[in-house]
Amino acid sequence: MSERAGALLDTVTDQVETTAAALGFDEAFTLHHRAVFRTARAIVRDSALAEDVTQEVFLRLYKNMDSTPGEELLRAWLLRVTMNVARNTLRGQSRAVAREELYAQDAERINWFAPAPEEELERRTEIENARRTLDRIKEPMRSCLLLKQQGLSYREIATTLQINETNVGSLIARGRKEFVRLYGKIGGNR
Amino acid sequence: MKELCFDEAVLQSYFDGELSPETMQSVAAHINACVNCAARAKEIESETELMRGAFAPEMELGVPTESLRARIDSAIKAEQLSAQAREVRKGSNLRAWFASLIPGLNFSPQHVAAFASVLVLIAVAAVFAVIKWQHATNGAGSTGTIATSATPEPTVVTPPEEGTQPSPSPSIENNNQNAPKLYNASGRPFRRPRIPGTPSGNNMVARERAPNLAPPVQSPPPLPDEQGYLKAIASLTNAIDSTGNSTLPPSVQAEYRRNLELIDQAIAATRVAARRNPQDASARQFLYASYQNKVDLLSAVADQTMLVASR
Repeated sequence: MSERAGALLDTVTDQVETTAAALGFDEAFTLHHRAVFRTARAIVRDSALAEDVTQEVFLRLYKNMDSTPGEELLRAWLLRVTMNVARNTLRGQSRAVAREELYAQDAERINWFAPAPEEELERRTEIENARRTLDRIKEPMRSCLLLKQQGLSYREIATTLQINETNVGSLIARGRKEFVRLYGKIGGNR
Repeated sequence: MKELCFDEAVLQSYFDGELSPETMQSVAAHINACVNCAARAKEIESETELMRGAFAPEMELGVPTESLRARIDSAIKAEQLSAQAREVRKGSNLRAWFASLIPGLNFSPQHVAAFASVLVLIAVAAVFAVIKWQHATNGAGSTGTIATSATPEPTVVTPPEEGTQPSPSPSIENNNQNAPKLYNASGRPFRRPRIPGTPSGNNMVARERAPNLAPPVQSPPPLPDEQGYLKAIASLTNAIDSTGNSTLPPSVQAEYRRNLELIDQAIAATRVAARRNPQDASARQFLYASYQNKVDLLSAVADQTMLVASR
């Protein structure tokens, strides 16, 4: 299966989640591990670390199956835990490891899977540009955009970030404008 | 029309499909009618598209589902195992405590070293106690010989019947402080002071008892705190016997017996000193420490046998 087809399937699966019946652990993993992993990777910028974070998140889910919210807000709960674990993971990393270095590491990993180096180089640059742009947006707008990108509803975003749901639209609108402004600058430097 | 224009948040929510059906309709109607808002809507659309495009490569990066699944499965298995362990521990906190002592019977180098250091301490305590006792008896003009815990052979401790026949004993002991001392290498009970008329038949009863089962009572009266230790030791010994320590691996049994002998030697040596000098706090402490060592060892063995038997 190509990566694009896989990504499409991911999106479809993520949407199916809202109609799923009461979730067991396996179903929860099947439905949400992609969002968890991608959110983690967007924060820690490293696939191996993102795997560590994902494992920890689902282990916490396993330990707290009785006290986690119902399926409607399970994804929000998972992503909230994901963001906390991912940020703690980053804090645990030596601060001396600059973001640039992480970019380079991740870029190498992306490149490693690449069948066509030139095309991949371009794609890698695009990924880096989007990440750098997102990095420069202030919280909580940045997290709103990140979660919106993972397909979360306003309610889920509000639950994940523990903000008022009525503010989510405004935060996304401001974040979007900021993103476009900064992305244009970063893209123009290419 | 200006007053009906929607703010940016509402327009954003409109494109994100987050409005109620009624509001969706009215926003759509307004965008159709208001040139200004139509332009803003277009802008939002194109910016949203740009953002989606910017994140598309990242979103298309693969997710290592299989590896995640495997990692989480094994993490959960580990969690289940530790949960089971917690259950077992909950069932018996005492057992958990015993279990923590069990490594003392294993043969890894650290454990051997740890146990060896404990034994060295016991030996030093015993020697110290015996020296103290010797001083006490020397003061009374004694030239008696002393068997210390360094003796490799098992040392059989004194018979219990003396405590139950108090009438002759105290005076005997007091009058015979220079009598030959308590132990011999053959493992027989101490050579009792040769007092004419003292019945010797009771000795036979004492000899038939295993020295570890019921710690015998020394001629000087037992110290008040000794009883607790003696009871604990007796009940633990019974527990081990009833479970049968033959369930233990032979190497562990051998180690157990060796350790028990050394501790018994230490107890025997310190007990004499402590009972003869009831006012001597340090002699008493040495004795109690030796008892405690024995209780610890027996507890560990008892738990080990229970664990092995329950498997």
